[in-house]
Amino acid sequence: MRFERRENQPLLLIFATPLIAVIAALALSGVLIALAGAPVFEAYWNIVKGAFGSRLSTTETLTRAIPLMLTGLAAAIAFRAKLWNIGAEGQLYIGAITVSAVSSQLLAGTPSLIQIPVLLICGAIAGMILLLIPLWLRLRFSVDEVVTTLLLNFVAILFVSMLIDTVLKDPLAFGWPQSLPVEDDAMLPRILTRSRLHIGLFIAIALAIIIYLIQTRTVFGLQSRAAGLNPEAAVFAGVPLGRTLVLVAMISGGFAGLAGAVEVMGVQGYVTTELSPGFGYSGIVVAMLANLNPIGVILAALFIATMFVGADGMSRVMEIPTYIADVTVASSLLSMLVAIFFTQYRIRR
Amino acid sequence: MVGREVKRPVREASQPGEIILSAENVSVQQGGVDRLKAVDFHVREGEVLGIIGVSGNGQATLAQLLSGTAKRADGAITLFGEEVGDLSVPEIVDRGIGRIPEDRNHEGVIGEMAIWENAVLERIPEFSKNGLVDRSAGVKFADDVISAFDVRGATPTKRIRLLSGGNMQKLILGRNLLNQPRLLLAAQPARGLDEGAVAAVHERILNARKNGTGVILISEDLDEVLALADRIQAIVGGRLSPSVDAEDANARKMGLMMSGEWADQEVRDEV
Amino acid sequence: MTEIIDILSSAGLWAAVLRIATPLIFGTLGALLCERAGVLNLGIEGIMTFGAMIGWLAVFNGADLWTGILVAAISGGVFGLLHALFTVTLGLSQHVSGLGVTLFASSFSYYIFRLLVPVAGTPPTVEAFQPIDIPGLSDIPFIGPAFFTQTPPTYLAIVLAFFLAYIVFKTPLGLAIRMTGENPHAAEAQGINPIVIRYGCVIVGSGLMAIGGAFLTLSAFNSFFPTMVQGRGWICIALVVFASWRPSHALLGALLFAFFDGFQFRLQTVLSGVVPYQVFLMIPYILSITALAVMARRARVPQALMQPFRRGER
Repeated sequence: MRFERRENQPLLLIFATPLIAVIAALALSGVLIALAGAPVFEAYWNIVKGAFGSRLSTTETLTRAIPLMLTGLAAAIAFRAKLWNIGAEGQLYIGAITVSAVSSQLLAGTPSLIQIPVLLICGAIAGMILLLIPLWLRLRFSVDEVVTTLLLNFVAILFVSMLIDTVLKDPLAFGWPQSLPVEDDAMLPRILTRSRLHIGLFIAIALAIIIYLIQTRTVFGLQSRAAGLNPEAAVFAGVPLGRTLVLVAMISGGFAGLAGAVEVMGVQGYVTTELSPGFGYSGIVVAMLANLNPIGVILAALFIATMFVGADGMSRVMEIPTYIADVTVASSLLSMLVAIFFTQYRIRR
Repeated sequence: MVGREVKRPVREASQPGEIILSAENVSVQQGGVDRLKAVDFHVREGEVLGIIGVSGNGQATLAQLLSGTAKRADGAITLFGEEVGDLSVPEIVDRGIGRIPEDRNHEGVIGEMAIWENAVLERIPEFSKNGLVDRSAGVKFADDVISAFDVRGATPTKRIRLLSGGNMQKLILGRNLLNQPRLLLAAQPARGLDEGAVAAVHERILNARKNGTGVILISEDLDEVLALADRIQAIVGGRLSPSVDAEDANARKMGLMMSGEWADQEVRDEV
Repeated sequence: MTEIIDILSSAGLWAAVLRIATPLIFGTLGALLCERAGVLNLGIEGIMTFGAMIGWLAVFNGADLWTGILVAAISGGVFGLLHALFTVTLGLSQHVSGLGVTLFASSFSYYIFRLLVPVAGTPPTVEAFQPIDIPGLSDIPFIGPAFFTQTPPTYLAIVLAFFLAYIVFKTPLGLAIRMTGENPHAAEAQGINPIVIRYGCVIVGSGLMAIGGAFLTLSAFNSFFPTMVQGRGWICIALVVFASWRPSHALLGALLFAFFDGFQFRLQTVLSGVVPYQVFLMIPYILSITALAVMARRARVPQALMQPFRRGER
């Protein structure tokens, strides 16, 4: 049995791939649900109801999708250039705490129109800086950025925890330590009243479209793609590898930091160590399910948000641990990898 | 083997013009080791300088030096009459220098990218404005290269890895030669190609020479060098032999040159 | 200053160092074995998590401790098989495949745990490994309590390090592994089957990783809770580079790292008023990053690491 490279990838297959991956993942989760002794289709129905069954749940699903779109974009942009940014989780937290600090310490009383864009930019810059550290280590010391970005996640979250406990502690909050809240004027406006859905959704979708245009129309998009596909040939063709990677890292880290900023400014208004239930890591799955396509990221983020919000709802009415969502998401990643493989290779006896 | 009769093209007599590129006493270090040691060479308009040598004697480094991917440790390089420092790849391409890399698959093309993207990547400033890629100009350029250089089985938007080795090489040649470069660096241009493709590549190189392009041909293939070059230097242990004119060169003499018989004892011991 | 000397001269510190090092030794040796054959296994964090969970679960359900370790090892091997399938047979990105395995193994372990173990106020515990007494050695003042009152898996880890060093450098099998990691095509020409070697190393290596995880729940602590691995897997990946892919150096690296971790912990109690505890907790991760920066260029990396092996392709 051999694998033979396909000549061209039928377009249908390219669109079907994420769907096949998701179905395979859901099938596997179906097995796990059955193992828990619960009726499988009822469980899935409850997940769907949990995600879209009411106005509230639908807006919750959309709200949950927003940070996933941003971390998904962060991962997709980086992976396309073969920059393995696994640090989105930490970059998110750094973006979040920066927004809290800047708003409460420097921008008290500043009107929304100014404060919101400034804070978003600050959050992005903070995330950017965090990723530039592992990038520098890669360029200067040839250190693989996978491990350094991963390890920095722990450092970043501890750092944020420290700030929340000390200088940025909210003295008015009881119980769990939380940061000083951002100013009221910094909160992102809601899209729908009586829901948590905020304009971060529009920001994320707009950014996805912008990134798509950059990747397909600009010199930078062409060069970063070349750098990811074949760095040796890219260098021969004069692509400035170092500079290109720095720019890619800035955008990727910026998006992850932005995810943190948007989550704080859009939802709770303050930072705790529980701010992110793994958005950074889920962003990687989002990016892979989207096949690194920015527009696909929007859809993939919606799928993953559906799983998480839906599983929450389902677990309230059935005896199945919410972790089923995490398992489904993780197995989507693995099945997507296999599915991508079979769009590129066929089996020959 | 190719299905039709193939004859390798023959070099005509020519009158070389001015010196385009000359290198004096140039040394290059890589990985802490001297790969090129005090080499001297020059090439004129309309002539082919052949560098012959067994693989592992510094050819790759010489190609990298001239391609802009390796830096000089010592010596002087004069280009179009002016001494130059280390030039980056875009600067080299901008000055009208074409480069055919040794390894077309790993260095020459990006397999998953379209043919037109591969055609324009190294000269992207010509095909972009304000940072935006001019796709239609790029596709047209690729079309021109495909027809002028007889690249079979190619359309500009097709993935380049689907081309055969010979056609890929023709594209690489074409993207460099279509706009008449002043200098062409060709490293192992016919490696791994079938007879028909080899003849095509040789014909293009001789054509360029006829049009006044100076060509530096780095090759392991003695027959190729003897057929195409006006002057030949052997590369041995990172050093270049004195230049031998085509009339005086033959297989036996070049074989001796390749084993270093022109150098003093110290160098020969190194080899 | 006196506090530092106090800490250094307490037998408790050195005993803790060995205890902290044990999961790192298993994990690093496991990752090292995979990488020596040419496969980067980023599934380590998830595999250690699953090993921790399943080993504990087995013991919680009545198995004896060594059976728990065995169960963990086998499940690690299964995840290793999965990773090998993706990376060796299908040639997929080792980075993404490994991350996928980590995400999958972790979430799967939490799911199973939450399913089978009811939520309670305090997490349920098992009877963990007890330190064993080595007659004669354990009684030596200071050195006895410091180094010779460890639980069995710790001694196993140390022996394993030397055993692996012997295998890798002194046996034909080790040579086959190293050749596969440097140049699988040359290895194939010598009659070695790189596919079998890579599968074997990844499966066994993953088994070792899982044992490291099980140590956490069966020896260091005696219960399981989500995120208890806390990035130890990634630290092991860094330690492999630091150890320059040599098992004996891996042992040293793990001990050195554990020393700083144990020291940092005790320093916390001394300086707790002045410096926030998070600073101390950051130290292990920052140390690992620094170790990588120092060693990455100098370390002699297996040349075929992360190159998929495809027959017939040059």
